[in-house]
Amino acid sequence: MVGNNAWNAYTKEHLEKQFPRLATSNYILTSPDTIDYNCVAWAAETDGEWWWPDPMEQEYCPDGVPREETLSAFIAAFQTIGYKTCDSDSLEPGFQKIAIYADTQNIPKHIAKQLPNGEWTSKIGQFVTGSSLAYRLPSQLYQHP
Amino acid sequence: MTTTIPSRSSQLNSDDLERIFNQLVRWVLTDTRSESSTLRIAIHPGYQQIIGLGESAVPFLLREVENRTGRWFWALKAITRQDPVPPSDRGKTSKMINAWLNCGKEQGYQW
Repeated sequence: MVGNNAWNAYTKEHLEKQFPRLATSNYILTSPDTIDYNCVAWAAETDGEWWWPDPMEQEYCPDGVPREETLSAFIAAFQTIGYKTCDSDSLEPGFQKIAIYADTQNIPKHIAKQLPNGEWTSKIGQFVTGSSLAYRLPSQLYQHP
Repeated sequence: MTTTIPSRSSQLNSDDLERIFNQLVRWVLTDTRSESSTLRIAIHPGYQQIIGLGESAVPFLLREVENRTGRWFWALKAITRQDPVPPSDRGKTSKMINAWLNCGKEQGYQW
């Protein structure tokens, strides 16, 4: 746990307001809020960059990857650092897995990465609620209606 | 939360402008806390109204950048049509902050 009890309570209240199912899941806040990096960077194992294929060309996007919010662009970005697509979110020794969450139009919204124990971790947004988050059921966070 | 601004920011005095700017910042930050997409942050109506304030918003934006409250680089680039961040530093938040603050100082902005 990071922060004091008041900070944790405030942050969890905000998170659970936005993602109601979190209230009944077993999650912990593992790092303080920061604008230094986002969920994509966290999944890519860096905490000093903000990854996003923005058309204004402000954020980090690997060379050769189109600056567009598409699932194919996100997959291409992670292929530049060695990832391949797979069919299962189950833990497989020797593999680091990430999950890209997209909406019904295949526009990416969020990314989580699997921990060595099979649980998942992610960074939520920018700052006050921008905490790394470990939770058991990542689909509870960004589930399609 | 919603807010609107008077249509002619150039007619506002500095205090009114700062008050409006701060309202817009609060609106953007409240609504985009959980957002990772720089594009979706930038198209938030409050963020768009901040860009609409034009050059008079630059010192306030530099203050927000210095305080690391959010990702205001898009707004600065949109207003000033400049980008002091070299391509190799894109996304590197601390370096982007330094680049914009140095650029602002060189151009005589005070915040």
